[in-house]
Amino acid sequence: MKIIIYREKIGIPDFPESFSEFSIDNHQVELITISDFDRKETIDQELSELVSKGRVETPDILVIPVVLGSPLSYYGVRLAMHWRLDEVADNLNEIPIILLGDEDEASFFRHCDYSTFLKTPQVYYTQFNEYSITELIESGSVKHSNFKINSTLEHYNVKPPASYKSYHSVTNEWCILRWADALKINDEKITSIRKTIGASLYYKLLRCKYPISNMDDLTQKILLNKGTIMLVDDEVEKGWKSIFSKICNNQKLITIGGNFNGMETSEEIVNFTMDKVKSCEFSLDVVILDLRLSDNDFIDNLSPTDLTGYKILKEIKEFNQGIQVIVISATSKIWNLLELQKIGADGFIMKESPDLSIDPMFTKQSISNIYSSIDNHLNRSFLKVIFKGTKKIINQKLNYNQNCTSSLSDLKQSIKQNIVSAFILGQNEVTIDYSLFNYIQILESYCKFFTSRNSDRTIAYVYNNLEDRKLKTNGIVIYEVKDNIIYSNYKYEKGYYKFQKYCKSEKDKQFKNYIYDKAEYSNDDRFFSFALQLAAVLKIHLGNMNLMPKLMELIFIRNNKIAHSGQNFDSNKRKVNKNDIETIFQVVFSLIERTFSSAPPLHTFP
Amino acid sequence: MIYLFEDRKDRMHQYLSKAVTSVNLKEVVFDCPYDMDVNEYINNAFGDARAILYHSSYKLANSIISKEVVKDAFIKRKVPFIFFSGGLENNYFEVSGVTQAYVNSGDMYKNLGKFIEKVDETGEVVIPILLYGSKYLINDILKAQKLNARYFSNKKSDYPLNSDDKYILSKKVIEVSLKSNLLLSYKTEYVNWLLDSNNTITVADVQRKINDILINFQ
Repeated sequence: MKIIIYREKIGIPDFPESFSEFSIDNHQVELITISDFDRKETIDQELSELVSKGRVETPDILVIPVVLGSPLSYYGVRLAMHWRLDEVADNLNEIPIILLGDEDEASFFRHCDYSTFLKTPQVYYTQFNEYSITELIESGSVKHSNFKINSTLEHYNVKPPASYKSYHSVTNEWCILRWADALKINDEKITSIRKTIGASLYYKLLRCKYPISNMDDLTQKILLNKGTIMLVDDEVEKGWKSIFSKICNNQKLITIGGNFNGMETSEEIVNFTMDKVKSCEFSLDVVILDLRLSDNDFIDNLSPTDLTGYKILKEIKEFNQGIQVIVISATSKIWNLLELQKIGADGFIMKESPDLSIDPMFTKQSISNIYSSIDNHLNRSFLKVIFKGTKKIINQKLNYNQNCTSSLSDLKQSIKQNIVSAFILGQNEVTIDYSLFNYIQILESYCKFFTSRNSDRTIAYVYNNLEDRKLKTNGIVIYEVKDNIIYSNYKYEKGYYKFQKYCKSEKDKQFKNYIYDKAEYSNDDRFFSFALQLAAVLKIHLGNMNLMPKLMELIFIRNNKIAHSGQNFDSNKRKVNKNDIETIFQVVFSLIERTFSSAPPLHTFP
Repeated sequence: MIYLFEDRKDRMHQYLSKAVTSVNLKEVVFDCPYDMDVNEYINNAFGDARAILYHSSYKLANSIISKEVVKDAFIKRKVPFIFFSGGLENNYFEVSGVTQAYVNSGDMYKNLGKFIEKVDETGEVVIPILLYGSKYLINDILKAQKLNARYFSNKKSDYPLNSDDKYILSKKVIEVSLKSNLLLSYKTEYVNWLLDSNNTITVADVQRKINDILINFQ
């Protein structure tokens, strides 16, 4: 059998070098000499290299002194644990390990933090002495046996770093390695991280405890929605860029944070980030924001409101609530998440700490959730345009109060109330129907205001501008039924809209002439169709009626699904979506912008 | 004076306010002007340094200077130099009598109070305290045990020591390992026992003797 003995060069003059002449009958003994071990800075990397060196020799038995360098550190035992965990990682057979102690076994158990490793199979303890080694090997008790490593890992007493920031770094690094493995990322950065962090005994133990399952399908995933994503993380260059570049592979990814370490204060980081956000407001759809971005964020028991990520989130949401912000953090403290939610965090990505990896499905679920979360928020990024427009309407258009009539004032008030509600309700899929409801209410108020009484020949009066309305003089006749202008502009046959297919009852599906009937035969306000008012308003105020069919569809949904409990509406066939909200907002915005002149804001939009 | 170069002030204040208010510890900034020689700067600013505790990723204002240059300049002045960081395992060594160490920051701050207490009370700068806290003397005894074992690794336990062995053990094992004044009585007793010409001492006896010191000390 081939025996490999690690020995440390003592470096004291006149001191014999151990095992120089050592041999055992019928065995081949090879020595690996370690020099200046006590001068090494990166212990685990050194030990990993020593394992590699030993593996070249393909030994049958390993002999390792428990002490390498300073005694109380017991780095020899650490080397033995590296050997064992590396074997498991590479699916190799476990080689018997003889630990050479300077103390008796009782003393070893008293002083060595890793002494319980001795309780694992195929690990033996004897004195640092050639005769002791020979006796143990010749006794025949050192031999291979089959055992399951998992049941022995509790005896690997390897602790994570003690300090708070370091503990967070552990989660960070573990998560990067874990997700990089799952996503099969092999770029230069990740390879380098694998070499450094992956050499740590603590990570080796974690990887052995929580082996990663097959996640081939993850590598095929892509984001379905388009957009620009910004990653804000002080450790962006330490692997996060690689992870999110892979996830956002088919979209534009902007990364910032590599220079945060050079910034003195949290405010500097906030300002730098906000400059970047503002400079690309309209192209930016989703921000993935790390919560702890400066050293000061790692003080124990810090209030969540003092975290740099919190301050950035607050500023982004004040600037434009519609920009979607997903907070990424190692925190699992629910009160932190609630504070973030209060100020508008749209989503959360939890970094995978070792504790969470106990669940073998956690990695896969986490990464799948990241894809779906980014996709969902890309889909909601239309809100940034709506927010901007809503803010402009509130601050610049509706606050202007220049001797307007009471009915105009009422109109403004109605628009203001409804447009704020519409924006808020539009942010949530559950309430998006009611957002549509509010926008249509605005349209109704608007159309009612700008159309006058009808007669038997006239289907709509539309005032050209506010002055005309105020003077109540030359009301302008816009459309006459005989001219057939409205109908001739519809793309569909008169009065029939294809969206009636959403009705559940066959009778309603056949229902035609919805607009036509009411328009043709009504001759007083009660039956004067909103549709006709709207058509007239679109034609006169916006110059065309291209959106009329789409708006009629939305009004139909409002009338049948939202306003009247939807009993006759098949909700599965037609859901209110972002395009609906974008369209109707665009109409509302264009009408208001055209009609109400600009003026300085009286107060700020909340 | 023990000088602490730490850029993670929050962590430092957390520990310092709890544990250390000594006049022998000063948190400082390394602000060597671009046009000044590092050795001259160190001489002027930290001439009374007795040990340097230096955060591994401490950012130097003067970008021309590296942490290795700073370390070498202090070592040249025979000032023990300790790098600390959250990612380090503990290790220390001496070159020409000057101690250098790598210490995990968690351990360093945990043991800093005891380290400074020692400086305050006795004037001694005992770097191993930063690594092992109050167990640092056990580390010394274990070191003696380690050297013994290495020296006799090819001898049977009943091998009788000759005078050369005894000389080397007393000079190169005991003197090297049991340096602390707190171990003086153990050291004296051990050496007297070892060099007593009336005794026939075997390898097993030597190991037993060290083991007794270890047990008695605890």
